[in-house]
Parts: sequence; structure tokens; C-alpha cells
Amino acid sequence: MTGAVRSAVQSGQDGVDVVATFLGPPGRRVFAVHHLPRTPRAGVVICPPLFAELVTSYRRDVVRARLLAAAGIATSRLHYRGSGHSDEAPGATRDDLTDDVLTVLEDQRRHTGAPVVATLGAGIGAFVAAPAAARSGGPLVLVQPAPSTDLYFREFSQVHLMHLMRSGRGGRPRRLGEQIARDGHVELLGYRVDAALFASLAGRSVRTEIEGHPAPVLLVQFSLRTAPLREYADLAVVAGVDFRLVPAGRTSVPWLLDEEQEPPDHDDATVDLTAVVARWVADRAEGVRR
Amino acid sequence: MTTEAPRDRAQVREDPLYFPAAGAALFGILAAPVANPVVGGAVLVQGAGGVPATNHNRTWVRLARRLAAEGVRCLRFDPAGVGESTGALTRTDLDRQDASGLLAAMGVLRRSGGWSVLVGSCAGARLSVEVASTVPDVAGLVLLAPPVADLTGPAAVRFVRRCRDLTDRGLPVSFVYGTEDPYLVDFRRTVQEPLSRLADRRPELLQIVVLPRLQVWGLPSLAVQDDVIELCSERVHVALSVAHRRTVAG
Repeated sequence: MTGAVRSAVQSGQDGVDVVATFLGPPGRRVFAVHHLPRTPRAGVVICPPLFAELVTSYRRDVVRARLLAAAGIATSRLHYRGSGHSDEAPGATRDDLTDDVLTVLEDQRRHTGAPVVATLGAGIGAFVAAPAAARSGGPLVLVQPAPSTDLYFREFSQVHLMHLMRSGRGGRPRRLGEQIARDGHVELLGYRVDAALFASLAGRSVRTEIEGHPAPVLLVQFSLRTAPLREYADLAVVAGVDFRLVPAGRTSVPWLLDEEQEPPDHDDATVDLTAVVARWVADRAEGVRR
Repeated sequence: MTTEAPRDRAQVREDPLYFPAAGAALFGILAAPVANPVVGGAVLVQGAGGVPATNHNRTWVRLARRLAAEGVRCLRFDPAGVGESTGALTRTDLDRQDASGLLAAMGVLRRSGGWSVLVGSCAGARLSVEVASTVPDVAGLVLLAPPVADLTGPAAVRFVRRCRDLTDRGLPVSFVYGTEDPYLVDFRRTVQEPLSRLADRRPELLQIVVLPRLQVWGLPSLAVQDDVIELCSERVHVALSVAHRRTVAG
């Protein structure tokens, strides 16, 4: 890949410019999209999930970014190297994904000068957002994070198995760790999970990620209940964590594209979530300004 | 511009862009060789399921970069309401899909010269057939697992006639399924027989490829992703080569 970087800019009637660009040198480019309000109150970088979820959550993250930007929060999204439109990254680890987030965060700062830029991670994206926030010193927003990486990979593997069985192609339960150790990778739902990335993510829990975090943490749970889910109850009381519930009904399996489900463009839960996040991040920025 | 693919892999550049289509701003990325592009290019056409222009496991990204490295400009884009594009995702009957996005995408490619080969996936394959029937500068079609369950009676006759007309115009058309595809059963039940007869008469133009032990729809395995990239690349080059020969002869 070569050539000078060209960006595409789309100016919206809502006063938000959308800039799609490649960041970084040829061969190591990160695809990023900035949603830039004219006078941003603060910034957010959305850390996407991984593998099949990158496709299934794509529009949801776009809509979240648009709503946050409309609320005055400069919001950036990215495709980690080795995924989406970005360049290849064989052997990438969690540290590499974190580097990509920080590259985008710095570029957003160059555009906006926003004093506070939070990182936001949903699902497995929480496990990239957390180290990125720790390194940038910014606030951290976790939206329905996977409670642990081991649980994430176990569920991912189970969905893969169910998918194979449903399509009549059989499949046997397997221990991911053992298979990856033996083969150097494993294939799940048409995605290659490499040993380096698996090893760098394995054995982590949300609790260990947010304990001792140097900046405020917002933890959001989608639920029709009024109390935290069991897996989040012990996180809600960690020092420095603000816990919020956002009402939401039906949720789909995150790894599979649910063609029956309406696009998230006008989804109440998405609107409510972004209102909560925008207010919280803006308050953090206001605190810094004071 | 040249008419033959370069023997060595070319350096590639990628430009993100927005282009208008029926009131929406569609997002795409044009991958192109830095020098000596082949005349003509390829447009990668998504289905109606909301999958963005990367396609599953960025199969479209890899295909676009491969084609560009082989000298062929390639545009991948998000349909309205999908990925980065504005507008709303519409889900309609397969034979009544909104063609404005694809036509606008072809316009982007046309501005840099030459014909378009349409590589359509799922409902995007059906849309590609509709558009190719009405637009003159299409060089060929690669149709990945088109759903055809609705093609019975007059609809089947109409579809086969469209395919025959396309081959009458000298356009290579390839149907690609896997033996594990849910849509292959429908294809065999509805239009395979008349299309096979057509393929027997014009084997250089109409191809029906069935990949053993694979599912093409949804690109659910690394093996099928690799096979599809290989096959699409080959068929795009064939279509552009045929279009060039036709132009020279004409």
C-alpha cells in the first residue's frame, strides 16, 4: 500500500463533519472515522469488538458515534490492523490493538484539541478500551463488557459449534487453548484467532481491568431489570466506577448477523445509551476545565 | 492505461470517498494500482443483509487489494443505511431492489475510465443482473450465491432470458455456489436446467461453478473466502479481457 493519505470528508447538516481516513505509514495503516462537531465538549474513541462481531456491531457503533457527535462529543471509530479496512497485522497482540486506538485518539486530539478523550469499549472491546484508557490517562466507558475474556472465547466457540451443527456440518466441542497451542491458531465462524492475540487476551476479567484505573470509569448495563446483573454487581461497587442501567429489550447473539432485527438507527436503547455517555463524558471534561 | 494485467504485482493506493445516491451519502473505498491500470474495473456489490463493504472477515478488502495489485481498479462500498453510509437500509423483493447505489458506484468507476465487472454477493448478485440488463458499460458478472427461490414460472423465464441477453451481448456471467449452500437447492429447482443448457451452448461466457464441501453464502469459512477471492479475481480478468477483445474487434 502506498501513496499520500487522502481523506474523505462528509459535512452534515447537523454541524458534524465526518472524516474517513487511513492513519499511519503504508503497510501499517489504521482505518479511522472521526465524527467532529464544530465545538466539541469532549472526545470519545469507540474501540470495536473483534472477529465476527466487527461486522455485526458495525452499524451500531456508527449510529452511536453519530449520536454522540450530535450531542457535542467528538467521536472516533477505527478498525484494528488486521481487521476491516485496515492493513494486515500478522501476529498482532492486545498491545498492538491498543496502539491503534491511541493512534486514532491522538489524531482526534489534533483535530479538536479536546481536553478529555474517553475510550469506550463494548463486549470484548472493553479489553482494548481499558488498556488504552490506562495509557492515555482518560476516562473509560464500558458498555455491557464481556465479564472475562475466557468467557468470551468460550461463548464464541460455542456459537461456532452451534452454527456448524445448524448447517449440518457437525463439529465437536474443543478446548480452544489446547487447539491454538497445537496449531498456532483456530478458526471460529470464518475468522482466524491467532495464538499471539489469544494469549494476550486470555485470563483477563473486567474487574482486573478497571481496578486501580487512574481515571473515572462508567459501566453501562443494558437491562429491563433495575439491579445489576450478577456478573456486574461486584464491579458496580469498585471505587471510581459509576454504574448506569439503560433499559433495553431483545438482544441478539452478538456474533451472528440477525437479519430480522431492525437496524439500530432509531433504536431507543442506542439513543438512551449515547445520552448517558455524552452527559457523563462532558461532565468529566467540565471537571477538568474547572 | 493498459489492457493487460501487469505481470508483477503493482503498488496499490486506496482512497476513501463519499458519493451521492438517491439522497444518501454512500461511503466507498477505491483501490487502484499506482501506475498502469488495466482499462475497466470491478464493483463489489453487497447483499441486503446489512453487511458492510468489508464483507465477512474482510474478504472484499482482500479481493479489492488483490485486484488492484493485478492492475484492476476496484470499488467496494456500503449500501444506504449500512456501514458508513447515510440513508436507510431497505429490504424489498429481490426483483425490486433499489439500484441507485450500485449505479452511483459504477459512475465513480466510470469517471476513471472503462467498463465495470460486477461482483455481487447474495441479493447483490440479483441486483447486479438487473442493473447489467439495463446499463451498457458492464463487462461481466460474478454472482456469488444468488438467492433464487422466488424464480418460478414467468419470473424464472424472465431471469433466464436476462442471462441469455447478457451472454448475447458477449458478457461473461458466472454463477458460484457451494455444495453446502442453502440457496443451491433453490437454484437446482428453479433455473439451473435452462441456464445449464445456455452454458453448454456458450461455455466461454456462462459458467456455473459449484465448490465442493463449501458454503459460499455468508462466506462462513476461511477456505471459501480464499476460494472466492481466487475465483473472482480470475473471472474479473476474463471479463475485462473479453470486453477488450470485443472493443478491438468492434
